[in-house]
Amino acid sequence: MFDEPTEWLSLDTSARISLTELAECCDLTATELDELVDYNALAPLDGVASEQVFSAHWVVPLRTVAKLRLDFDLDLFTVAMMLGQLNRIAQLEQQVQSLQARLPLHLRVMQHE
Amino acid sequence: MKYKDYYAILGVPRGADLDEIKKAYRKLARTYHPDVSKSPDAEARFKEAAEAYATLKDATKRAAYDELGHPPTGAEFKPPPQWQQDFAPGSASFEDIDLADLLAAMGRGQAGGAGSGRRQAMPIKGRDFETSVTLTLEDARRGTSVNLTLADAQGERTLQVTIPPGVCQDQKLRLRGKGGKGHQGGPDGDIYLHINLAPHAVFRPDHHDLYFDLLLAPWEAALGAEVQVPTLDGAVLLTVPAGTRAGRKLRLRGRGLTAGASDLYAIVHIDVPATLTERERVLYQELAKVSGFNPRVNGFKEKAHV
Repeated sequence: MFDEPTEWLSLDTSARISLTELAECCDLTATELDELVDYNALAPLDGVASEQVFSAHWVVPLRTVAKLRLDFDLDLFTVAMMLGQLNRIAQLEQQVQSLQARLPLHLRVMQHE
Repeated sequence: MKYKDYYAILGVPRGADLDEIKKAYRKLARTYHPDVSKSPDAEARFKEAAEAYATLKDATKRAAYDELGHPPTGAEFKPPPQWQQDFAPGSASFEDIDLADLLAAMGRGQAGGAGSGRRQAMPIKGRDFETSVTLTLEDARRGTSVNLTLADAQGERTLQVTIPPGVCQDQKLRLRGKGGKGHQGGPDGDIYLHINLAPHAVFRPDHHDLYFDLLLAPWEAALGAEVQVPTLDGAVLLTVPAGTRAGRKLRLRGRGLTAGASDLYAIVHIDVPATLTERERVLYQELAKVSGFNPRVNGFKEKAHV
């Protein structure tokens, strides 16, 4: 068993990731990521860095759509549309979770029901 | 080497054009994708279709594949001698190589077809692992150590990793370079960890905050009280202000999943005794006589001013 120091990068809005690293994580090229930015599906953070920088929260949805792209041989525009929809679903799931947490006991529908 | 009939797998004639091949593949992919299909052989069928498509959609690979002729599926065949030079130069035999690996190598620059000359191996990144872990809320708040079992073609290994304190439901973490080993100078893969929080008997997480239901007696809500409430670090005293209504959220600062930076909220519910003693009944009746409070009138008015 390996027991090594763990240096996690939290893949949320608290962390940043460069264009090169994002491309490497998601198995997409920098050019393809640029095209997703052109489609307004992906947005870099504002800044004056020589290389574009993104919020790390993009990593997981981008990996998901990149895999679906490969599995279904999808074009990049479809990937852009899918990325938007995935983000929307994630936001709605988060809202449901928030509402479930705040609902009074007798009104709550447990997730496993 | 065993022959696989990629055209039969996709259900297209040997002369099918690229559109027909793509359409047939997408139909199969949609049917057998492991995220969609519950069929026990779905993953195998999906991989088989993907393998066939990867070859037939690429003109060079398809031409090389077509050179093999049309032996029956599963039949042993000997690839053209030129293939050994192109795909596995220097090796005594390439009998054990799978047809799919051989054709896939074409796209990675490991094989370039006849006359390609000296081949350059492309760096290949090690495999990424995606895994999940379920933590108790207590472990999520304090941080903990977990063992991750990572299995691939090279075998199985267990990695003990430390989960930082203050993680929340659906948080994703990336551990760089701890996945599969890279090949030909490529970087090692990464680990992507999805955090799940086990349901808790008392607390419900929302991001890094926690919620729980606080039941109060009518007089505690009306008069105010000090009540003992649970937290992940043990019970504490909570001051309930006089005039607390049902649904009000009382905050215990810093008692959420991220110690000091997220909160625990008690959601007030006012309960009444199902049965009353004679003395209680008399007191309630007296209260009913003297009180001018009517929740259908006063409650609405007061709420409207909140």
